[in-house]
Amino acid sequence: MNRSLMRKRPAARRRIVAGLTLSALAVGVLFGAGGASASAKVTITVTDYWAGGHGLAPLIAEFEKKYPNISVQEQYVVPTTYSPNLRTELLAGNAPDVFATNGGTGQGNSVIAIAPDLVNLASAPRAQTAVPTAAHNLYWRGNKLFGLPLGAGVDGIIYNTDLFSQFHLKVPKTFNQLLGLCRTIKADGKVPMAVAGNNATFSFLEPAANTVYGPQPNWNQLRRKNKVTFAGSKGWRQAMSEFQAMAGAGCFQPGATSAGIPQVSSMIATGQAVMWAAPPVAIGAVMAANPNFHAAIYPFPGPTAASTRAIIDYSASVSVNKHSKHVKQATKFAEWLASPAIDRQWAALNGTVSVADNEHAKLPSNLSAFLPFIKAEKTVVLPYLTFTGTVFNDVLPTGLQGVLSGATSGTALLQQMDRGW
Amino acid sequence: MILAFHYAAVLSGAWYAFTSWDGVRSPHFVGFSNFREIFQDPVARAALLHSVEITAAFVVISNVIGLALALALHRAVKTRNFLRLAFFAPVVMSPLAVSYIWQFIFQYTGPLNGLLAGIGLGSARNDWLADPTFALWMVLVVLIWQFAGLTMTFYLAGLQGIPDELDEAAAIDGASGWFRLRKLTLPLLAPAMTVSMTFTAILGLRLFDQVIALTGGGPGSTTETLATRVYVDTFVNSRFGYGAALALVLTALVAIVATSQLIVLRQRERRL
Repeated sequence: MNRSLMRKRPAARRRIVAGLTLSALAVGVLFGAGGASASAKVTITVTDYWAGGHGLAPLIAEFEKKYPNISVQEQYVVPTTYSPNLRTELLAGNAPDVFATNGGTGQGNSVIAIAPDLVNLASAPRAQTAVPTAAHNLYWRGNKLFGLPLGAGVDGIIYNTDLFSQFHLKVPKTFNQLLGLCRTIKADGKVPMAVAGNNATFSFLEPAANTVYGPQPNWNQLRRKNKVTFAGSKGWRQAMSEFQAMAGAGCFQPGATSAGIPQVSSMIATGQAVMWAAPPVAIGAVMAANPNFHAAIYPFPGPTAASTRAIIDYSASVSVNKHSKHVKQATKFAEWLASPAIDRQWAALNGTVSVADNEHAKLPSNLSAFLPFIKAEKTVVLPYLTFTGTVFNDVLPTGLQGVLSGATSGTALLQQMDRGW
Repeated sequence: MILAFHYAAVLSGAWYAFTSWDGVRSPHFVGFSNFREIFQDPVARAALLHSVEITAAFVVISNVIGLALALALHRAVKTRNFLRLAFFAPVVMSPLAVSYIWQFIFQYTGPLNGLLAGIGLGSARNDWLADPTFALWMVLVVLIWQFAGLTMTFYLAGLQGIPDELDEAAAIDGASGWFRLRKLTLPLLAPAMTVSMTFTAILGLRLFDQVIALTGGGPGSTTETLATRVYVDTFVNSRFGYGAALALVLTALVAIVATSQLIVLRQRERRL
């Protein structure tokens, strides 16, 4: 470069510096636009409502150690707002790379409902074995797989084992025995079964597993074809009677009608209430409040011992955002999370059992009440997963509260369920 | 350009009202079927009725209380500035935060029932927010508690504009306090009343936060309003087209009520 030119012509110097800067920027953009190079670290985002809000930090640390080029940022969202949040983010185009989903069609974040926004995971190494046969239609559509199940919960009545020992209580085998247990616990000065009046769905769907899906496992498919109705079904009417009978027998706490899940969770954690009809992830939330809480779960008893069915909950799953900028890395994380060894750890964090352990009837001692039913194949897949319309999210929560308060009759609610289907 | 910027979102929302859209797949045009469903669906009709009921009650009661407070605090009372602040403070609080506090007060094991038991009225204890007879009116109580201070402010501003000499002259001429209020103060407060009633009508029709926080629309849809149905149908039930139609009906209702009220009250102002 001509030094005298540099000294005598500042404008020329400025032009040279500008040119060099622009060239450097252009090179940087060219490399950047091509995507992350093999050695560049990629950050993926994960949104979920698992582990009682404590997050997947131990699992994420393990993943990042195994894949040092992938960093995972997790965001917890409370379950009640999770689905609307996710839908809004998908619409806006800023959804996370990986997110919690549910199997089936029944909820806002159900994989089949949002399939157009999900990566097809059918080519994943474990795709053919990741989904149990009973849950096949919850995650597969034709030859496309839209989510990988995590954990296989067993839904029933969560109970405080310490209080059961203290008051010498026994797990009921029939519905009438359950009502008797309620009266005994109430006489002992405790709340038999806490229920969140504004979210009492499980307290109604669990009896229905015995009265509706035990005799007719394909009831939902028949309903889709309009061959049956909620209001016209003897099984549904019986489930409604049982729900109302529990309220009448004093199973629920005073003020249950307006109670919310946080209040109920608190009552269970502090030992004010002994039982709770809820999915097993609720144990995680209770243990977050009281790490010394000891729980077990038993299947909701049917009218007879022989009619009792165990509900297997294949709802939790992980899916990958089709519009993610890092589909490859996001898919790697999702597949890793759903692998048998990691799923077992995920299940432990969420108070449930891994998919593989459930299929092989390897249940921890606090879920041993379900073993005979799994071995005898007296199981029902969680019914609401294949509901359609507004039944699960809208009609049932407010409708059951209406039944508890007297604003709605059981028959009227069943009719509303038909309208909402 | 400003009009386009302001109304573009509204117009695009209005278009979705004529479609069936789940927010995931492409919307498809269904004409007026969403609107027909609104007027045939018992839950949507009930929500419309609740919106109208609560708005009517809220407008009347909050304006009466606001006017009474304004008249009381317009006088030369030593603590009037503090009292004005105390009554206005709830207006600036978050409606959700206020509603969660009241939810605690109203719950079965909450302070209200505790107070009733404490004064010997234990038999009157109730699950206030879960009782279909009382739930909607409990929402009204919270609404009035929070916004009576706002109407008070409107009327205070109106009272500031009335010359004291008029009232003094009438008093000297022997007019009673009640007569002066009816024939002098209230007519001169007509502009403030117009603004206050229109504002409270719009607030009432748009009611959402308080219902969601206090009752979620229950028990059994007895406290649902149009605004809560818009939210539930759009974001919970993923019926974006139907939700847009509900929103359009709500917008039309607010516009009709607000405009009619303005016309009637302005005519009244001119007569006075």
